[in-house]
Amino acid sequence: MEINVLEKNPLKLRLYIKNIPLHILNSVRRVMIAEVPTMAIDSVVFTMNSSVFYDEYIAHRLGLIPLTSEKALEKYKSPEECREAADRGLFTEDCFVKLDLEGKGTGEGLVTLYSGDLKTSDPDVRPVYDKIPIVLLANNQEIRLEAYARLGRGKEHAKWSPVSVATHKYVPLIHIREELCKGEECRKCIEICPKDIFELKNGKLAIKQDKILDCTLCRICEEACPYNAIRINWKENEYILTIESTGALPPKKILLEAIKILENKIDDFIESLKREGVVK
Amino acid sequence: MELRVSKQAENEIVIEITGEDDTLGNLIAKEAMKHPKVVYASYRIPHPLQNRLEIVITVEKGVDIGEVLSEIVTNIKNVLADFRKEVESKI
Repeated sequence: MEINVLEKNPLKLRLYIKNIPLHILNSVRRVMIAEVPTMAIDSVVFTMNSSVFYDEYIAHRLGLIPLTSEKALEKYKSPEECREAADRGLFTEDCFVKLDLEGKGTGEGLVTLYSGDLKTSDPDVRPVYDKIPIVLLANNQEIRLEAYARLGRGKEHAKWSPVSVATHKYVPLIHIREELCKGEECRKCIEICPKDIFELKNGKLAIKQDKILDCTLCRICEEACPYNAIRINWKENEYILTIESTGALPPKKILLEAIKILENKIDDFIESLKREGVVK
Repeated sequence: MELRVSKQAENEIVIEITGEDDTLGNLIAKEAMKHPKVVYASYRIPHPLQNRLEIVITVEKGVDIGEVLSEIVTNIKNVLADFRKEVESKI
């Protein structure tokens, strides 16, 4: 297996991966979306709400605020245990982080409460962005609430998903037969490409080498120019994996967590088969 | 894992798992198809509203299914270990 990093920044990762079976890459991708745990607000206790929004509406908004979760993964109990604790109404410290929000409208215009106004009981778990608006308060409207965040998984609710984008795509393989597509008189396939990956080089149809990975394999160019002039195909066992994080976890951590979870799942599978006596 | 063997014949096994989905089903079924001693492998989710998964694997006559299954799992784990090593070193 070989990995080349195409793009890397704190929130986004784009990898060119060679020699990996598709079903394994796809399972890793699915685990990233649905099973890598993060922190998110799950229960909210209102002691005062005279704003124009219902309690439920504000609670939902609070849930969708991404919280930094990197250290929380080791610090707090597993999503399954904490979910049970929440169901029984036990907001224990080994499962939950308390976030307080207070605000009151003043006489001078509207007051906006932002995610940055949440006061957290654990500095390792705080909103990723401080400028997410939660609610607007007019004069004398007031909000006082305690929110409890816990670890959870994307399959329970999308607010716990650490990624906003997790996709893999094929690597395009484009064959051009120049004798069938004679440069100048055959511009249609160049112009029709939505990703603009073709160009005329010395009167011949050519591919912009730096843009070839943009190709979406849509095959519009195959239709536009004479039959067989362009053929779009893809490489076997080579994929481009794109991960965009919500900010809760860094992309590399998401990938490593996903691999770990998948390994545990497979171990669990074979252990269960041993218990059933299928595997000795 | 809530796993039940709902049918086991000489060279065929049907495994029923509660609480798992395509992530595990597709992984096992596709990897099984790559195994030289496997004749047929597939998975299905019997009902979209229930968290159930069914994996069917048929192997050649006279082959131990348990052995084949542990080989499949080892293959997947090898790829994942390789993947982890690449991620840790290259990113």
